[in-house]
Amino acid sequence: MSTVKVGKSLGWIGFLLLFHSAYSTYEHLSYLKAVDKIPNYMPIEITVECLVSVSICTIGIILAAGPLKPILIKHELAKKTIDEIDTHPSFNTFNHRGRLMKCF
Amino acid sequence: MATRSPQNQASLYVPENIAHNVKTITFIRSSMSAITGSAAGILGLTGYFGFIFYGTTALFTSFLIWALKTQAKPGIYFRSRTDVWTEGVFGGLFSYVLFWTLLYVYD
Repeated sequence: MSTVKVGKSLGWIGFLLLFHSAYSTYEHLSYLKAVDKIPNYMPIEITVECLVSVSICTIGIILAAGPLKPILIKHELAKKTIDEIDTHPSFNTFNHRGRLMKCF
Repeated sequence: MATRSPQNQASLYVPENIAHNVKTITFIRSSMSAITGSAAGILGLTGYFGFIFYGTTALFTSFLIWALKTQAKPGIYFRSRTDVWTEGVFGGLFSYVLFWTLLYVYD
């Protein structure tokens, strides 16, 4: 499995966790409102889930973004063969003795 | 190494690859702004704590880019070594504030 696919899966897992923690927060706050309590602190599970989901998302997005490319032109040229760099179409000769050999 | 004029400096780089790297980093930054902004809203951060949270997560993201994307050698992928820490951080702040206020469910 490629890094990009791993990153995308991690990103979705992190996003679902974040969504779940948002839903939990909302439910908890509506519960507190229903029983007439003042929300002074949130359960530690929701906070931890939120922070863990952010960490998973960070790693997932960074892996999903694909590799960077080296910007120096010498790295780019190192990947090419000498035939690709050093082509001289003007020096191609078509009027040579191969023409005579074609007769046989 | 001899000093180079700006023209020579420009011919040292591949413009397409510079643009590609900046695009990749901008993608990471804007996605992270949305995610961390949502998290700040869910956690119910207010005032300076939200901006401190943004700074911390941006630093964490930069560190992961530096470690995972550039293999601790940002000089190969960016013209300036500090670009990996600063690129798109300020621009992402506005998306962050948008998502922060959007997911702030406390009243």
